[in-house]
Amino acid sequence: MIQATELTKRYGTRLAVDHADFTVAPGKVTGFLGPNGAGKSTTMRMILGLDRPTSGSVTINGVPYHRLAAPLREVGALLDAKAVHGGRSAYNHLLVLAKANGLPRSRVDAVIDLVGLHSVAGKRSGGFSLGMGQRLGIAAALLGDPGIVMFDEPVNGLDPEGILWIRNLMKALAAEGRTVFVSSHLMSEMALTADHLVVIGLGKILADEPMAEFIAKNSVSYVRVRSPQPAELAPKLALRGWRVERQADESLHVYDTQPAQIGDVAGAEGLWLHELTLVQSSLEEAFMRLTAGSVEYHAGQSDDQSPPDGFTAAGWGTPQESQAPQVEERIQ
Amino acid sequence: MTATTTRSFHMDAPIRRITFREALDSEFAKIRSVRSTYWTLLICVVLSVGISLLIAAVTSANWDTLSATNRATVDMSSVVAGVYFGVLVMGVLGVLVVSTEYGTGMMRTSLTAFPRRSMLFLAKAAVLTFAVLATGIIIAFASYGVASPFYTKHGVDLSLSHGANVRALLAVPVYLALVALMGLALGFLLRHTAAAISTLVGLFFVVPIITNFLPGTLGKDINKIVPSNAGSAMMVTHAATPGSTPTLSPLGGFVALLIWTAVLIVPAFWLFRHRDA
Amino acid sequence: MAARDSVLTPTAPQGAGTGHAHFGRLLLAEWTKIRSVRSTYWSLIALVIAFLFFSWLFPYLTVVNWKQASPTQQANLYLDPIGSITGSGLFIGQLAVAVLGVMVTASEYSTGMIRSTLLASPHRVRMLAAKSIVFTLLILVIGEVIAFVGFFIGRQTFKSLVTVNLNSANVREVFGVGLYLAMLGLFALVVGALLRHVAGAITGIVALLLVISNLIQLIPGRIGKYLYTYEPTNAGFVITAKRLPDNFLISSWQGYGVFALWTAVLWALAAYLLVRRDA
Repeated sequence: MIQATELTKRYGTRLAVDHADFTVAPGKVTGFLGPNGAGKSTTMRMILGLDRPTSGSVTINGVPYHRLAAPLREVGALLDAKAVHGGRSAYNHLLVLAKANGLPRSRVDAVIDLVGLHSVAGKRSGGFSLGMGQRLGIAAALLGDPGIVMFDEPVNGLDPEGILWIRNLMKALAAEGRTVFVSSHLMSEMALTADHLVVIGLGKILADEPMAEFIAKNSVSYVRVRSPQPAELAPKLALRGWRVERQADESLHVYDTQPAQIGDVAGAEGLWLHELTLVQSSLEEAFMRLTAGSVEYHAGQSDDQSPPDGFTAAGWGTPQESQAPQVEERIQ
Repeated sequence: MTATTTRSFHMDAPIRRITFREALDSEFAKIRSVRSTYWTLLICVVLSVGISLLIAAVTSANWDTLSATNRATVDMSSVVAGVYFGVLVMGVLGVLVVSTEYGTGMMRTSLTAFPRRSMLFLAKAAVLTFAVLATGIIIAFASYGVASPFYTKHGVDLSLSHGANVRALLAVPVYLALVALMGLALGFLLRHTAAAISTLVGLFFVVPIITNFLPGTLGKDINKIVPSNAGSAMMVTHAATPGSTPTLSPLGGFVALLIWTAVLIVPAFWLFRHRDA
Repeated sequence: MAARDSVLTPTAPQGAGTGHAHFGRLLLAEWTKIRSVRSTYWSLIALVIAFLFFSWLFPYLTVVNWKQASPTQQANLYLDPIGSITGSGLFIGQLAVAVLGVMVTASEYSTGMIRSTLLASPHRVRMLAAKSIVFTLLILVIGEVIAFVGFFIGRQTFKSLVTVNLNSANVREVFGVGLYLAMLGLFALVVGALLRHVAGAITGIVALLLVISNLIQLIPGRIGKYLYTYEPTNAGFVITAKRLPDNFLISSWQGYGVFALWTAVLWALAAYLLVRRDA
């Protein structure tokens, strides 16, 4: 378990991590999300004792990192796959780490086989492709069979087979009761892998909750209704107090209700239905909405803070989370 | 790599607290597993011994043209004269052992595997010292082997039954090791290969140029204690000749060099412990 | 296709320029690279400060110690006052230039920047030429400026002992400082391109300048004289000297020519390897 309490890091005048409180619990995959420059890497470095917090603390199983008996046996981290000496072979790189924690050579062979680097173990790591380097980093993280695994962008450079493999690996590790902490930008992957989310923006923790709850809180879902009689159906639904929006293609978007209830109304009024679909936000949409105000580094086209398509009519929707108003404040 | 579920790879052994022993093992594995270590040590040996041989041959060939004073200055330090070159190479080795870790980002990886920074620093220093001492002994005795015949045939006393001669020979690995440690300290302080090497070069080759010309007794004293002169003093066996530049005694040279090394290593150690990785 | 702005059109791409325009842009690129890196400033500051400082210090110490100086030392001064002014500054300045020259090429490999560079300028030899021209000119200009400024500083310091005036005979000694530094810089740049390894190249050049060029003097006989004369840095250095060293076999301009020839041959080798080797 990783526990951060009021964790803060200041670089000169810049507050990179701002009194972060969160817990990463065992038995599930926790996704660590945030825009670029939000403080993800800084936080991870503080967890591993690489950077000293300005104030606050972060502990691994109750102890600060440097007091762990054998760090690699308890935490395995992949922060930067390129952080290897290019002149050293993959095998020797892992051997150096193994020896630092008193791990036997058999562990090196085991993780090399696990990640599939057996054929290139003796080659210098400087010549590795991106994917191979990534696999070496994963091997190093798993070397000590740790109870906590931390990955920063693990799928970077992996081919589709590799992406599937790492996804299953992370889920299997979590199922074994380990703590899995993954930072990624790949929303589609995160949506498939993570059970719990910690979201950071401009140094502050914006969310620390299960995935389903996060999506529900930060998105607006609606029911898409297609009917040959939209003009008659819409007012009947509105009468029930539900917000109804008529779309250009004659479909209706109905908010604040379930498909079953709409079906009941249509049936009671004797109106035909051709489609009744519950449309839920993706993780990506939920994430963009929550963090839109705290993106520090914008790409050129999206200078305006307007939310993505699909929400223009509804504006910002009805955020229920108290943190959301803080996000609004930060919109320049 | 299969896409099926992972094989079981659990470790059953109990967790044992990491100690200095593990840091030593790891650092030793590190230095042994890169080519630059071998290249550097080999170049150092070849050039130190080769230059000692060259100087011996030339001095011997020109023996008749040397004045009596000059002949009196030929001693064990002449036999190992190539070390003045070897010093630069060993200093660079010390720098590289640290600066390449910073340059590649490997230092962060090392610190996650072994976060106890004092021990990591000491382990690096210990492994480097061992490697340089061992190579230095080879250089000293190889130089003795190839170069001393050129001198002994002119009657220079280089016999190893004299304590002073043995001391001068053993001073070679010590000098090299201390300079390597200075390089290591510069690597930790500056965390940048070119800057550290430049500083080393400046300290060893540029500073003496200035101090050589400083006026007065204060100037002469300062000139005596600069690292290169202090180190050279360790290998001298002849008595001071009139008119020559004053130097420290061999023991004085050793102490001065120790102080220089400490002056660099102490802040390097402190900074390594306290700075962000 | 409709004339609609694509996502990529904020700046419409220019057509590929003519040969001249292209090389001009290469020069600009290399100049931007060189002046946007901290190590450039550190090295140049070290060069300027060290050179000017020693142009003052050495004459000053000579004046202060004049009474203790031996007759030989005093004679040396009168014989070659400019050498006394520029000698020590040059000794140190050449190290700064050599380190910078090596880094200009070798650090592109250590940082991986070489790949961006070669993507932008696939004509590798032209890129090397642009880099060489920009760097050599930079060192030449700075070298000449500090040579003359240093000369006047030293001249001023020596006033009480000896008056030093520039005339057609000795202006070469001052002018030669910039020439030597520029060629040395280019030589170091080439060594960096050949070895592609910062620490190795710096060590090699420092060893060449400080150790090997001196130890070569010990090699006896005719062979020793040839080796001493035709060693690149020794050959080039004489352009800054009034008198040729004892074992030197050719004139000072010939010596500089030898240095230039060494550099040209190594440059050609570097260019060839740059094209042949993988980045």
